[in-house]
Amino acid sequence: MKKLTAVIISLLIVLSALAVFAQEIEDRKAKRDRIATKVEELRKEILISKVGLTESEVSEITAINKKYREKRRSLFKERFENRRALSKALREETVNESELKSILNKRSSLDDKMTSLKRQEEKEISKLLTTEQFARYIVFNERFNRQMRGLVAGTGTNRVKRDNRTNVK
Amino acid sequence: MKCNTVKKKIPGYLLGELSEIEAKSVEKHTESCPECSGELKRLRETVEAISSGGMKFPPEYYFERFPSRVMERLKKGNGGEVTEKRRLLSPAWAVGAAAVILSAVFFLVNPIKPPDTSETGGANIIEVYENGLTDPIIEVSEANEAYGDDPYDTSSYAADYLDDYYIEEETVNTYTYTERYYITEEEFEEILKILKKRFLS
Repeated sequence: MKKLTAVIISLLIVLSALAVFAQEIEDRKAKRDRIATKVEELRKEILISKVGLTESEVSEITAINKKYREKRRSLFKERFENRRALSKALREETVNESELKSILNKRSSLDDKMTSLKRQEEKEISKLLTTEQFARYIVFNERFNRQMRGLVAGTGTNRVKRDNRTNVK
Repeated sequence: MKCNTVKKKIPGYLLGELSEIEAKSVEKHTESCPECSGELKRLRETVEAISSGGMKFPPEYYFERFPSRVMERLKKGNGGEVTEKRRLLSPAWAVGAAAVILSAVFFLVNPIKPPDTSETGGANIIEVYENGLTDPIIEVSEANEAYGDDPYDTSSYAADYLDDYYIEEETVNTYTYTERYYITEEEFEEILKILKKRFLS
């Protein structure tokens, strides 16, 4: 009887914990989706009213952005890991030159792939637009992204503290 | 004499190990107590059965080797499996298993490494994902971007953090910049408001 009670209690604990975790994952996803939708809406609004694109052009560009973003994601992750690997290799007591070379070669190759992907994306978008529209789109895109980065990092000192990293300039 | 005391003395009584006074006390009590009398009767039957040859005690060497034989049986076959199965069904194992499953689920939900990035939608070089239960992280990467004059440009994102080790940006990161910032949804909303004002007003 005691065994049965213990098993039932354990199962109940596991099930309720799973339910809480599942809810947490859902909440995060919902939060991400809300952010994504808002950014999408703002970009669309600016592209139509300030860059002078039509709604269908914006939809096509958004689809291209999405396609390349998915391709870029795996490269982005690899690049991130490569950075960590390089940093780790330099922290070793004895620096292994061949290891460093291999990591740097990989890094170079990843950078080439990312650049190539960016070119392909822009080429596809350029086919949809006139030269002037494309130039305006490029300028907007760079400004928008740069400004968003700047704003995100705007109070960077506090965020760096929260991240427990040392701000060295 | 109380029943409990009598019951403890019954085996000694039957084996003739009690003093005369104790034996008489037991006899006196059992005459008037049906419960103790019944106990005496049952134990007497058992002792008689043993002494009449109905049950035989094994020789002494049987008990000397008893523990080692038990261990051999457990190692060889069913005994061991049964014990193992019982152990697995014990409450301690159930609670332990629950704890392991909980830990596994916890680490799945909160991995030590950053989880897969998720998209923000519009900004094609910005990846948003979350760490922990409250703060989303905005991870910003920049792929070969041509810098131009921008009145709103801030330089605060120029510093690059590689864990706790810093390498000069120009040396390591010619093409790609990656920073990670902790930011809440509310902070992100504020950023969008500012961007809207800058681009649309």
